Amino acid sequence: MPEIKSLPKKSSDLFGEELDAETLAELEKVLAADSEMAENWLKISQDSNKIRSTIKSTCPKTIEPPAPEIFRQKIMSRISVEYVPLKSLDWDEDDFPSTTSVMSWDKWKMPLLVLGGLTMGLVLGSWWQAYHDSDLRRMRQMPVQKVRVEAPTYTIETKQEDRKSVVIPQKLPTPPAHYHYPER
Amino acid sequence: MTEPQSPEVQSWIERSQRGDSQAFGQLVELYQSRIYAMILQMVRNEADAWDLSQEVFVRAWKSISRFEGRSSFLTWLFRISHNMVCDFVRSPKNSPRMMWEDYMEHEVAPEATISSQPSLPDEALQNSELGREIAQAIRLLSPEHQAVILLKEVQDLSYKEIAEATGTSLGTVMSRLFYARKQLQSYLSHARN
Repeated sequence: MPEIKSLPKKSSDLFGEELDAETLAELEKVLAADSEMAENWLKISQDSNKIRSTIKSTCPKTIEPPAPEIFRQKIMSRISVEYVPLKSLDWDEDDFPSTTSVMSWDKWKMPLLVLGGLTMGLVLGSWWQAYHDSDLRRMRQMPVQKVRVEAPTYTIETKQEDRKSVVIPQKLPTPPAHYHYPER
Repeated sequence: MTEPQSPEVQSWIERSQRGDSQAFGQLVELYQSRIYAMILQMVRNEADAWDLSQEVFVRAWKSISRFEGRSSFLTWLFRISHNMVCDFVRSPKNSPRMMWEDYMEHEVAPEATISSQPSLPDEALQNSELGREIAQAIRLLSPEHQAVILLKEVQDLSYKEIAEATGTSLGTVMSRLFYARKQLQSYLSHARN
């Protein structure tokens, strides 16, 4: 990119006009980023001098529109019925949000505060819910002390041969004196 | 560079912002010929240029309360015009334009560039012929390239003003200007050969 390094000090030599330092610095950046431009900028600019002067001589800077009075009247009639600028209304600027900037704080203050409040509420609600959930979960996961209540079981064991040889005595024998019935 | 805004123009702007349509009428009268010229040179049709120029001023009136004076009023009007013309040209209602790339595919082969022309005996005749060729070549450029060429070479806006008028960066303006000039030279070189 030989031309980049040798940009003339006097920019009018190259562009036919004086460029301020900021514009010249920007041009250097653009040329550094685009090799095709860097290689051909000088030549294209110099070769354009003829075209530039021809454009200037053939394309007029001002052309009066046909029927200029009607042109203007039509605009005036349209603007008188279509729209009244906000500033024309007799409002105190302090009472009404500024319309000079889309990003005006006054214009966005209330919606942003409401949105912020809602978001905060949502976050706190979620946290509270999560806290409770974890509390319940903790309670559910607590070790349960199992108490097993076993019903008393009675087993009567009989032997097959005993069944056959059961003899129902007419009178129950009197137990021996040392015999004690088992406690129930 | 556009002429500095006179105090009178400044007062018209401020009065317009307060809803004074008569003051806005003064602004229309002052700038209508420049806006109309710019639009006509892009759309190449008087009726369309007439309608579009009207629309530019109506839109300017509607949003004049948002004009903050960071650029000149004329640059601001050029910006509205640029947006409107680009939308208009790209609208499917309008007949498809032959773009530069299409032209290059079908008509032009070499990528030669035009150099300084040899002097001819009748320079006026040569200029008028060249003027017609240049008008044709400009028509083949994309709306964005047309805009930078016309704003720079015809309306004499600075790079910064063109950047404001087209809503692009300074670097983009330089790049568009370079490629637009290159295309013009390429077309003219082909036309002459």
